[in-house]
Amino acid sequence: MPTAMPYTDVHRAFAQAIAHHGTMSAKQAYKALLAIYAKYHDGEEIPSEDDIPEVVASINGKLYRYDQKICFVHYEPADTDFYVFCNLVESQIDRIQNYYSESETTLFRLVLREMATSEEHKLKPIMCLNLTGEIQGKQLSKVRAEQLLDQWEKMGYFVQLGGMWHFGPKVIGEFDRYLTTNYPEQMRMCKLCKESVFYGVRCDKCPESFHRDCMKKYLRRLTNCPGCKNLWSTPV
Amino acid sequence: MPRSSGTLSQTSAARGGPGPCNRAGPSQSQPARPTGASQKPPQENGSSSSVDVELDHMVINLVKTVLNLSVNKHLIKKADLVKNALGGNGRLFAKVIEQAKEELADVFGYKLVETERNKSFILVSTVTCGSVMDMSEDYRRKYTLLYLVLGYIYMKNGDVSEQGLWDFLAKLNISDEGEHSFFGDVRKLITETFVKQAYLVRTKQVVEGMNDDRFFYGWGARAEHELSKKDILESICKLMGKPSICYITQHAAAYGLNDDDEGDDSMDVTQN
Repeated sequence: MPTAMPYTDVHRAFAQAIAHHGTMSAKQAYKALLAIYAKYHDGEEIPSEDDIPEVVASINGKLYRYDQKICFVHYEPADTDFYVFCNLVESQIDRIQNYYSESETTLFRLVLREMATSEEHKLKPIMCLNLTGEIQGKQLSKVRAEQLLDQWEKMGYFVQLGGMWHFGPKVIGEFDRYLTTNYPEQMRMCKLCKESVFYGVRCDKCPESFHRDCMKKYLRRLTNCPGCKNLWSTPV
Repeated sequence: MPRSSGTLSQTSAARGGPGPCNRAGPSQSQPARPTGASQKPPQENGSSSSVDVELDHMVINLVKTVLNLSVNKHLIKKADLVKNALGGNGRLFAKVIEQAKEELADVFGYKLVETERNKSFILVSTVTCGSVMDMSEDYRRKYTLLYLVLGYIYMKNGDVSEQGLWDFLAKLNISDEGEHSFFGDVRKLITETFVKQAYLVRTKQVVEGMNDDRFFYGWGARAEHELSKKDILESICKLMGKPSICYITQHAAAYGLNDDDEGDDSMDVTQN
Protein backbone atom coordinates (compact mmCIF):
# COMPACT_ATOMS: atom_id res chain seq x y z
CA MET A 1 0.00 0.00 0.00
CA PRO A 2 1.53 3.33 -0.98
CA THR A 3 2.28 5.69 1.90
CA ALA A 4 0.24 8.87 2.07
CA MET A 5 2.01 12.01 0.90
CA PRO A 6 3.29 13.93 3.94
CA TYR A 7 1.71 17.36 4.29
CA THR A 8 4.38 19.94 3.59
CA ASP A 9 4.86 23.56 2.63
CA VAL A 10 4.16 22.46 -0.93
CA HIS A 11 0.58 21.79 0.14
CA ARG A 12 0.36 24.98 2.17
CA ALA A 13 1.66 27.18 -0.61
CA PHE A 14 -0.59 25.50 -3.15
CA ALA A 15 -3.63 25.89 -0.89
CA GLN A 16 -2.83 29.58 -0.52
CA ALA A 17 -2.37 30.01 -4.26
CA ILE A 18 -5.80 28.59 -5.06
CA ALA A 19 -7.43 30.45 -2.19
CA HIS A 20 -5.93 33.73 -3.36
CA HIS A 21 -7.01 33.33 -6.95
CA GLY A 22 -10.37 31.85 -6.12
CA THR A 23 -10.19 29.85 -9.33
CA MET A 24 -7.24 28.57 -11.34
CA SER A 25 -7.26 26.80 -14.64
CA ALA A 26 -5.49 23.45 -14.66
CA LYS A 27 -2.66 25.03 -16.62
CA GLN A 28 -2.29 27.92 -14.17
CA ALA A 29 -2.40 25.49 -11.28
CA TYR A 30 0.35 23.42 -12.86
CA LYS A 31 2.58 26.46 -13.36
CA ALA A 32 2.04 27.41 -9.74
CA LEU A 33 2.86 23.89 -8.57
CA LEU A 34 6.09 23.88 -10.57
CA ALA A 35 7.23 27.09 -8.88
CA ILE A 36 6.15 25.81 -5.47
CA TYR A 37 7.96 22.49 -5.91
CA ALA A 38 11.10 24.34 -6.93
CA LYS A 39 10.94 26.33 -3.74
CA TYR A 40 9.62 23.93 -1.12
CA HIS A 41 9.97 20.36 -2.28
CA ASP A 42 12.76 18.29 -0.79
CA GLY A 43 14.31 16.57 -3.72
CA GLU A 44 14.83 17.00 -7.43
CA GLU A 45 11.54 15.68 -8.80
CA ILE A 46 9.55 17.86 -11.12
CA PRO A 47 5.82 17.35 -10.72
CA SER A 48 3.57 16.42 -13.61
CA GLU A 49 0.00 17.63 -14.15
CA ASP A 50 -1.16 14.25 -12.87
CA ASP A 51 0.29 15.04 -9.45
CA ILE A 52 -2.18 17.85 -8.90
CA PRO A 53 -5.17 15.68 -7.86
CA GLU A 54 -3.12 14.02 -5.13
CA VAL A 55 -1.91 17.34 -3.75
CA VAL A 56 -5.48 18.65 -3.86
CA ALA A 57 -6.79 15.54 -2.08
CA SER A 58 -4.28 16.01 0.76
CA ILE A 59 -5.26 19.63 1.17
CA ASN A 60 -8.95 18.79 1.06
CA GLY A 61 -8.40 16.30 3.86
CA LYS A 62 -7.52 19.28 6.05
CA LEU A 63 -9.95 21.81 4.59
CA TYR A 64 -12.91 19.58 5.32
CA ARG A 65 -12.89 20.73 8.93
CA TYR A 66 -13.64 24.32 7.86
CA ASP A 67 -16.30 23.39 5.32
CA GLN A 68 -13.94 24.29 2.52
CA LYS A 69 -12.86 22.27 -0.50
CA ILE A 70 -10.82 22.65 -3.65
CA CYS A 71 -13.25 21.45 -6.31
CA PHE A 72 -12.33 20.22 -9.75
CA VAL A 73 -14.70 21.73 -12.32
CA HIS A 74 -14.71 20.74 -15.95
CA TYR A 75 -16.14 23.89 -17.47
CA GLU A 76 -17.81 22.73 -20.66
CA PRO A 77 -18.55 26.08 -22.34
CA ALA A 78 -14.82 26.77 -22.55
CA ASP A 79 -13.79 23.10 -22.54
CA THR A 80 -11.34 23.94 -19.75
CA ASP A 81 -10.60 22.34 -16.41
CA PHE A 82 -10.49 24.47 -13.27
CA TYR A 83 -9.57 24.10 -9.63
CA VAL A 84 -11.88 26.23 -7.50
CA PHE A 85 -11.55 27.13 -3.83
CA CYS A 86 -15.07 26.62 -2.51
CA ASN A 87 -16.89 27.29 0.71
CA LEU A 88 -19.41 24.52 1.10
CA VAL A 89 -21.76 26.08 3.64
CA GLU A 90 -23.15 29.49 4.30
CA SER A 91 -24.09 29.69 7.94
CA GLN A 92 -24.01 32.89 9.93
CA ILE A 93 -20.34 32.61 10.82
CA ASP A 94 -19.46 32.17 7.15
CA ARG A 95 -21.20 35.38 6.21
CA ILE A 96 -18.93 37.55 8.33
CA GLN A 97 -16.65 39.49 6.06
CA ASN A 98 -15.43 43.04 5.71
CA TYR A 99 -14.57 43.25 2.07
CA TYR A 100 -17.84 43.83 0.25
CA SER A 101 -20.54 46.26 1.27
CA GLU A 102 -24.11 45.09 1.59
CA SER A 103 -25.02 46.72 -1.71
CA GLU A 104 -22.19 44.91 -3.42
CA THR A 105 -23.23 41.49 -2.14
CA THR A 106 -26.80 42.35 -3.13
CA LEU A 107 -25.64 43.05 -6.66
CA PHE A 108 -23.99 39.65 -6.75
CA ARG A 109 -27.22 37.93 -5.75
CA LEU A 110 -29.15 39.92 -8.30
CA VAL A 111 -26.80 38.87 -11.08
CA LEU A 112 -27.19 35.27 -9.98
CA ARG A 113 -30.95 35.62 -10.02
CA GLU A 114 -31.05 37.27 -13.41
CA MET A 115 -28.68 34.71 -14.89
CA ALA A 116 -30.54 31.77 -13.38
CA THR A 117 -33.88 32.94 -14.68
CA SER A 118 -32.70 33.90 -18.15
CA GLU A 119 -33.04 31.56 -21.07
CA GLU A 120 -29.79 29.62 -21.46
CA HIS A 121 -28.30 31.28 -18.32
CA LYS A 122 -26.55 34.12 -20.07
CA LEU A 123 -26.78 37.89 -19.83
CA LYS A 124 -25.75 40.89 -21.84
CA PRO A 125 -23.25 43.05 -19.91
CA ILE A 126 -25.67 45.98 -19.85
CA MET A 127 -28.25 43.78 -18.09
CA CYS A 128 -25.82 43.16 -15.25
CA LEU A 129 -25.07 46.87 -14.88
CA ASN A 130 -28.74 47.83 -14.93
CA LEU A 131 -29.35 45.64 -11.90
CA THR A 132 -27.80 48.40 -9.78
CA GLY A 133 -31.18 50.08 -10.12
CA GLU A 134 -32.78 47.38 -8.01
CA ILE A 135 -30.54 47.89 -5.02
CA GLN A 136 -32.28 49.31 -1.95
CA GLY A 137 -30.28 51.47 0.41
CA LYS A 138 -26.79 52.67 -0.54
CA GLN A 139 -26.58 53.02 -4.29
CA LEU A 140 -23.85 51.54 -6.44
CA SER A 141 -22.51 53.47 -9.38
CA LYS A 142 -22.33 51.75 -12.74
CA VAL A 143 -18.56 52.31 -12.61
CA ARG A 144 -18.34 50.41 -9.34
CA ALA A 145 -20.60 47.68 -10.72
CA GLU A 146 -18.27 47.30 -13.68
CA GLN A 147 -15.27 47.02 -11.36
CA LEU A 148 -17.05 44.39 -9.32
CA LEU A 149 -18.02 42.34 -12.35
CA ASP A 150 -14.42 42.53 -13.50
CA GLN A 151 -13.21 41.29 -10.11
CA TRP A 152 -15.77 38.53 -10.04
CA GLU A 153 -14.73 37.45 -13.52
CA LYS A 154 -11.11 37.24 -12.39
CA MET A 155 -12.16 35.12 -9.44
CA GLY A 156 -14.05 32.77 -11.70
CA TYR A 157 -17.62 33.56 -10.63
CA PHE A 158 -18.56 34.64 -14.12
CA VAL A 159 -17.15 34.12 -17.58
CA GLN A 160 -17.62 36.21 -20.72
CA LEU A 161 -18.19 34.14 -23.82
CA GLY A 162 -19.28 35.59 -27.12
CA GLY A 163 -19.93 38.93 -25.44
CA MET A 164 -22.33 37.42 -22.94
CA TRP A 165 -21.84 36.83 -19.21
CA HIS A 166 -22.17 33.21 -18.08
CA PHE A 167 -21.96 31.39 -14.77
CA GLY A 168 -18.29 30.69 -14.15
CA PRO A 169 -16.61 27.66 -12.59
CA LYS A 170 -16.71 29.22 -9.11
CA VAL A 171 -20.48 29.62 -9.16
CA ILE A 172 -20.75 26.04 -10.38
CA GLY A 173 -18.52 24.92 -7.51
CA GLU A 174 -20.00 27.07 -4.72
CA PHE A 175 -23.54 28.05 -5.64
CA ASP A 176 -24.97 24.91 -7.18
CA ARG A 177 -27.17 24.15 -4.20
CA TYR A 178 -28.09 27.81 -3.72
CA LEU A 179 -29.30 28.05 -7.31
CA THR A 180 -31.16 24.77 -7.41
CA THR A 181 -32.86 25.66 -4.13
CA ASN A 182 -33.88 29.18 -5.10
CA TYR A 183 -34.58 28.65 -8.80
CA PRO A 184 -35.78 25.04 -9.02
CA GLU A 185 -37.86 25.65 -12.15
CA GLN A 186 -35.00 27.09 -14.13
CA MET A 187 -32.05 24.98 -13.04
CA ARG A 188 -31.62 21.70 -14.86
CA MET A 189 -30.33 18.34 -13.72
CA CYS A 190 -28.55 15.94 -16.03
CA LYS A 191 -30.48 12.66 -15.79
CA LEU A 192 -27.40 10.68 -16.73
CA CYS A 193 -25.19 11.70 -13.80
CA LYS A 194 -27.76 13.33 -11.51
CA GLU A 195 -25.70 16.52 -11.18
CA SER A 196 -26.75 20.03 -12.11
CA VAL A 197 -26.12 20.93 -15.72
CA PHE A 198 -25.51 24.61 -16.37
CA TYR A 199 -24.54 24.64 -20.02
CA GLY A 200 -25.28 21.33 -21.63
CA VAL A 201 -26.84 19.92 -24.75
CA ARG A 202 -30.60 19.97 -25.17
CA CYS A 203 -32.86 17.47 -26.76
CA ASP A 204 -34.81 19.09 -29.57
CA LYS A 205 -37.99 17.16 -28.75
CA CYS A 206 -38.15 17.47 -24.95
CA PRO A 207 -36.90 19.97 -22.34
CA GLU A 208 -34.13 17.72 -20.99
CA SER A 209 -30.50 18.94 -20.82
CA PHE A 210 -27.43 16.79 -20.36
CA HIS A 211 -23.70 17.36 -19.89
CA ARG A 212 -21.89 17.19 -23.19
CA ASP A 213 -19.48 14.59 -21.83
CA CYS A 214 -22.26 12.54 -20.30
CA MET A 215 -24.10 12.51 -23.63
CA LYS A 216 -20.97 11.62 -25.60
CA LYS A 217 -20.44 8.58 -23.44
CA TYR A 218 -24.10 7.61 -23.64
CA LEU A 219 -24.30 7.93 -27.42
CA ARG A 220 -21.53 5.37 -27.86
CA ARG A 221 -24.05 2.73 -26.84
CA LEU A 222 -27.48 4.18 -27.46
CA THR A 223 -29.14 6.59 -29.87
CA ASN A 224 -32.31 7.77 -28.15
CA CYS A 225 -32.81 10.65 -25.74
CA PRO A 226 -32.60 9.40 -22.14
CA GLY A 227 -35.54 11.68 -21.33
CA CYS A 228 -38.19 11.28 -24.03
CA LYS A 229 -36.77 8.18 -25.79
CA ASN A 230 -37.05 9.77 -29.21
CA LEU A 231 -34.06 9.63 -31.55
CA TRP A 232 -31.37 12.02 -30.38
CA SER A 233 -30.47 14.51 -33.09
CA THR A 234 -28.65 17.43 -31.40
CA PRO A 235 -24.94 17.49 -32.30
CA VAL A 236 -22.74 16.82 -29.29
CA MET B 1 -21.64 35.80 -1.29
CA PRO B 2 -18.41 36.19 -3.17
CA ARG B 3 -15.32 35.60 -1.12
CA SER B 4 -11.76 35.25 -1.85
CA SER B 5 -11.35 32.77 0.84
CA GLY B 6 -8.29 31.86 2.26
CA THR B 7 -7.06 32.45 3.97
CA LEU B 8 -6.55 34.22 2.82
CA SER B 9 -6.71 35.84 0.69
CA GLN B 10 -8.01 36.94 -0.68
CA THR B 11 -7.54 38.79 -0.43
CA SER B 12 -7.03 36.85 -3.43
CA ALA B 13 -8.32 38.33 -6.40
CA ALA B 14 -10.32 39.86 -3.66
CA ARG B 15 -7.20 39.58 -1.61
CA GLY B 16 -5.14 41.06 -4.39
CA GLY B 17 -2.45 38.49 -4.27
CA PRO B 18 -0.14 36.94 -1.70
CA GLY B 19 1.96 38.97 0.69
CA PRO B 20 5.51 38.06 -0.17
CA CYS B 21 7.35 36.74 2.84
CA ASN B 22 10.59 34.98 2.36
CA ARG B 23 11.92 35.32 5.85
CA ALA B 24 10.60 32.41 7.84
CA GLY B 25 11.80 28.93 7.10
CA PRO B 26 9.46 26.12 6.14
CA SER B 27 7.48 24.83 9.10
CA GLN B 28 7.33 21.15 9.93
CA SER B 29 4.10 19.44 9.02
CA GLN B 30 2.09 18.24 11.97
CA PRO B 31 0.06 15.07 12.26
CA ALA B 32 -3.49 15.43 11.04
CA ARG B 33 -5.97 16.30 13.73
CA PRO B 34 -9.22 14.52 14.30
CA THR B 35 -11.86 16.27 12.27
CA GLY B 36 -14.62 16.11 14.80
CA ALA B 37 -15.34 15.46 18.43
CA SER B 38 -16.95 12.20 17.43
CA GLN B 39 -13.50 10.83 16.75
CA LYS B 40 -12.38 11.47 20.28
CA PRO B 41 -12.47 8.56 22.71
CA PRO B 42 -15.65 8.62 24.84
CA GLN B 43 -15.25 10.69 27.99
CA GLU B 44 -16.09 9.25 31.38
CA ASN B 45 -17.69 12.46 32.47
CA GLY B 46 -20.48 13.27 30.02
CA SER B 47 -20.39 17.02 30.52
CA SER B 48 -16.68 17.44 29.75
CA SER B 49 -17.08 16.00 26.28
CA SER B 50 -19.75 18.55 25.43
CA VAL B 51 -17.35 21.28 26.54
CA ASP B 52 -14.75 19.79 24.21
CA VAL B 53 -17.24 19.86 21.37
CA GLU B 54 -18.10 23.47 22.11
CA LEU B 55 -14.43 24.39 22.28
CA ASP B 56 -13.74 22.60 19.04
CA HIS B 57 -16.59 24.49 17.40
CA MET B 58 -15.13 27.75 18.60
CA VAL B 59 -11.74 26.90 17.14
CA ILE B 60 -13.33 26.17 13.77
CA ASN B 61 -15.33 29.39 13.94
CA LEU B 62 -12.27 31.39 14.90
CA VAL B 63 -10.27 30.02 11.98
CA LYS B 64 -13.14 30.82 9.61
CA THR B 65 -13.59 34.32 11.02
CA VAL B 66 -9.89 35.11 10.85
CA LEU B 67 -9.75 33.97 7.23
CA ASN B 68 -12.78 36.02 6.28
CA LEU B 69 -11.62 39.16 8.08
CA SER B 70 -8.10 38.96 6.70
CA VAL B 71 -9.13 39.57 3.10
CA ASN B 72 -8.69 43.34 3.15
CA LYS B 73 -5.58 43.04 5.33
CA HIS B 74 -6.96 45.41 7.97
CA LEU B 75 -6.20 44.77 11.60
CA ILE B 76 -8.47 42.11 13.04
CA LYS B 77 -9.84 43.25 16.38
CA LYS B 78 -9.82 40.82 19.25
CA ALA B 79 -13.26 42.08 20.22
CA ASP B 80 -14.65 41.06 16.81
CA LEU B 81 -13.20 37.60 17.17
CA VAL B 82 -14.66 37.16 20.66
CA LYS B 83 -18.05 38.43 19.54
CA ASN B 84 -18.36 36.41 16.34
CA ALA B 85 -16.43 33.23 16.96
CA LEU B 86 -16.71 32.80 20.73
CA GLY B 87 -20.24 34.14 21.20
CA GLY B 88 -18.93 36.82 23.53
CA ASN B 89 -17.15 34.33 25.80
CA GLY B 90 -13.85 36.09 26.35
CA ARG B 91 -12.61 33.69 29.02
CA LEU B 92 -11.89 30.95 26.53
CA PHE B 93 -10.12 33.23 24.08
CA ALA B 94 -6.58 32.36 25.07
CA LYS B 95 -7.19 28.64 24.77
CA VAL B 96 -9.12 28.85 21.51
CA ILE B 97 -6.70 31.18 19.78
CA GLU B 98 -3.73 28.97 20.64
CA GLN B 99 -5.26 26.07 18.81
CA ALA B 100 -6.54 28.23 15.97
CA LYS B 101 -3.02 29.57 15.45
CA GLU B 102 -1.66 26.04 15.22
CA GLU B 103 -4.27 25.03 12.69
CA LEU B 104 -3.79 28.13 10.53
CA ALA B 105 -0.08 27.41 10.42
CA ASP B 106 -0.46 23.70 9.82
CA VAL B 107 -3.13 23.80 7.13
CA PHE B 108 -2.39 27.03 5.29
CA GLY B 109 1.05 28.19 6.34
CA TYR B 110 -0.45 31.30 7.92
CA LYS B 111 0.84 33.02 11.03
CA LEU B 112 -1.54 34.96 13.23
CA VAL B 113 0.46 37.81 14.69
CA GLU B 114 -0.60 39.94 17.64
CA THR B 115 -0.09 43.64 17.35
CA GLU B 116 -0.95 46.57 19.53
CA ARG B 117 -0.69 44.88 22.87
CA ASN B 118 -2.99 41.93 22.12
CA LYS B 119 -5.89 44.02 20.94
CA SER B 120 -5.54 43.22 17.27
CA PHE B 121 -4.13 40.68 14.90
CA ILE B 122 -2.86 40.38 11.39
CA LEU B 123 -2.59 37.27 9.27
CA VAL B 124 0.67 36.85 7.42
CA SER B 125 2.01 34.05 5.31
CA THR B 126 5.07 31.98 6.05
CA VAL B 127 5.15 30.52 2.55
CA THR B 128 5.20 32.38 -0.71
CA CYS B 129 2.79 31.04 -3.22
CA GLY B 130 3.40 33.21 -6.19
CA SER B 131 5.69 35.73 -7.74
CA VAL B 132 5.15 39.43 -8.06
CA MET B 133 4.19 38.83 -11.69
CA ASP B 134 1.28 36.79 -10.42
CA MET B 135 -0.40 39.79 -8.88
CA SER B 136 -2.89 42.01 -10.56
CA GLU B 137 -1.67 45.22 -12.18
CA ASP B 138 -3.43 47.34 -9.58
CA TYR B 139 -1.80 45.40 -6.79
CA ARG B 140 1.65 45.59 -8.28
CA ARG B 141 1.42 49.37 -8.53
CA LYS B 142 0.37 49.76 -4.92
CA TYR B 143 3.18 47.47 -3.89
CA THR B 144 5.69 49.52 -5.82
CA LEU B 145 4.64 52.68 -4.00
CA LEU B 146 4.77 50.83 -0.71
CA TYR B 147 8.31 49.62 -1.43
CA LEU B 148 9.43 53.17 -2.08
CA VAL B 149 7.93 54.45 1.14
CA LEU B 150 9.22 51.55 3.25
CA GLY B 151 12.60 51.90 1.59
CA TYR B 152 12.82 55.58 2.41
CA ILE B 153 11.84 54.94 6.03
CA TYR B 154 14.39 52.15 6.26
CA MET B 155 17.18 54.31 4.92
CA LYS B 156 16.25 56.95 7.48
CA ASN B 157 16.62 54.32 10.19
CA GLY B 158 12.99 53.73 10.90
CA ASP B 159 11.31 57.02 11.61
CA VAL B 160 10.42 59.80 9.18
CA SER B 161 8.31 62.91 9.31
CA GLU B 162 5.40 63.12 6.92
CA GLN B 163 6.86 66.21 5.31
CA GLY B 164 10.18 64.48 4.77
CA LEU B 165 8.32 61.64 3.07
CA TRP B 166 6.46 63.97 0.72
CA ASP B 167 9.71 65.76 -0.11
CA PHE B 168 11.34 62.45 -1.00
CA LEU B 169 8.42 61.41 -3.19
CA ALA B 170 8.30 64.83 -4.83
CA LYS B 171 11.86 64.22 -6.04
CA LEU B 172 10.49 61.15 -7.83
CA ASN B 173 7.67 63.25 -9.28
CA ILE B 174 5.12 61.67 -7.00
CA SER B 175 2.88 64.39 -5.66
CA ASP B 176 0.81 64.17 -2.52
CA GLU B 177 -2.07 65.92 -4.23
CA GLY B 178 -4.52 64.57 -6.74
CA GLU B 179 -4.39 61.36 -8.71
CA HIS B 180 -1.00 60.08 -9.78
CA SER B 181 -1.17 58.57 -13.25
CA PHE B 182 0.46 55.33 -12.13
CA PHE B 183 -0.17 55.05 -8.41
CA GLY B 184 -3.56 56.69 -8.05
CA ASP B 185 -4.53 58.53 -4.89
CA VAL B 186 -1.09 58.57 -3.26
CA ARG B 187 -2.18 60.59 -0.23
CA LYS B 188 -4.98 58.16 0.58
CA LEU B 189 -2.76 55.13 0.09
CA ILE B 190 -0.05 56.39 2.40
CA THR B 191 -2.07 58.13 5.10
CA GLU B 192 -4.98 55.68 5.19
CA THR B 193 -4.76 52.42 3.28
CA PHE B 194 -1.24 51.31 4.18
CA VAL B 195 -1.82 52.35 7.79
CA LYS B 196 -5.07 50.38 8.04
CA GLN B 197 -3.32 47.40 6.54
CA ALA B 198 -0.54 47.66 9.13
CA TYR B 199 2.17 48.21 6.54
CA LEU B 200 2.84 51.62 8.08
CA VAL B 201 2.35 53.08 11.52
CA ARG B 202 1.45 56.73 11.63
CA THR B 203 2.03 58.53 14.89
CA LYS B 204 1.14 62.04 15.87
CA GLN B 205 3.53 64.21 17.74
CA VAL B 206 2.65 67.58 19.14
CA VAL B 207 5.64 69.77 18.53
CA GLU B 208 6.10 72.63 20.92
CA GLY B 209 5.86 76.02 19.41
CA MET B 210 4.11 74.79 16.27
CA ASN B 211 0.43 75.18 15.64
CA ASP B 212 -0.35 71.96 13.81
CA ASP B 213 0.58 68.44 14.80
CA ARG B 214 3.25 66.63 12.90
CA PHE B 215 2.92 63.06 11.76
CA PHE B 216 5.64 60.46 11.70
CA TYR B 217 5.80 57.18 9.85
CA GLY B 218 7.47 53.88 10.61
CA TRP B 219 7.28 50.27 9.45
CA GLY B 220 4.10 48.54 10.59
CA ALA B 221 3.79 44.99 11.88
CA ARG B 222 2.74 43.66 8.48
CA ALA B 223 5.76 45.17 6.77
CA GLU B 224 8.02 43.64 9.41
CA HIS B 225 6.56 40.21 8.78
CA GLU B 226 5.88 40.19 5.07
CA LEU B 227 8.83 41.99 3.60
CA SER B 228 12.47 41.34 3.97
CA LYS B 229 14.76 44.20 4.82
CA LYS B 230 17.26 42.75 2.39
CA ASP B 231 14.84 43.10 -0.51
CA ILE B 232 13.92 46.65 0.41
CA LEU B 233 17.55 47.64 0.84
CA GLU B 234 18.49 46.16 -2.51
CA SER B 235 15.57 47.96 -4.19
CA ILE B 236 16.63 51.30 -2.80
CA CYS B 237 20.20 50.65 -3.76
CA LYS B 238 19.12 49.91 -7.30
CA LEU B 239 17.28 53.21 -7.24
CA MET B 240 20.31 55.03 -5.89
CA GLY B 241 22.77 53.16 -8.08
CA LYS B 242 25.09 52.15 -5.26
CA PRO B 243 25.89 48.79 -3.67
CA SER B 244 24.26 48.24 -0.29
CA ILE B 245 27.52 48.13 1.66
CA CYS B 246 27.72 51.90 1.16
CA TYR B 247 24.91 52.19 3.66
CA ILE B 248 26.61 50.52 6.57
CA THR B 249 23.92 50.77 9.24
CA GLN B 250 21.15 49.58 6.97
CA HIS B 251 23.27 46.84 5.46
CA ALA B 252 24.19 45.54 8.89
CA ALA B 253 20.58 45.64 10.02
CA ALA B 254 19.39 43.85 6.93
CA TYR B 255 22.02 41.15 7.04
CA GLY B 256 21.67 40.66 10.80
CA LEU B 257 25.08 41.89 11.77
CA ASN B 258 24.02 44.48 14.36
CA ASP B 259 23.40 42.08 17.24
CA ASP B 260 27.02 40.92 17.33
CA ASP B 261 28.27 44.51 17.50
CA GLU B 262 25.96 45.40 20.35
CA GLY B 263 27.03 42.27 22.22
CA ASP B 264 30.68 43.25 21.97
CA ASP B 265 30.02 46.76 23.25
CA SER B 266 28.20 45.58 26.36
CA MET B 267 30.97 43.15 27.17
CA ASP B 268 33.55 45.93 27.00
CA VAL B 269 31.54 48.00 29.46
CA THR B 270 31.17 45.24 32.07
CA GLN B 271 34.83 44.31 31.92
CA ASN B 272 35.79 47.82 32.96
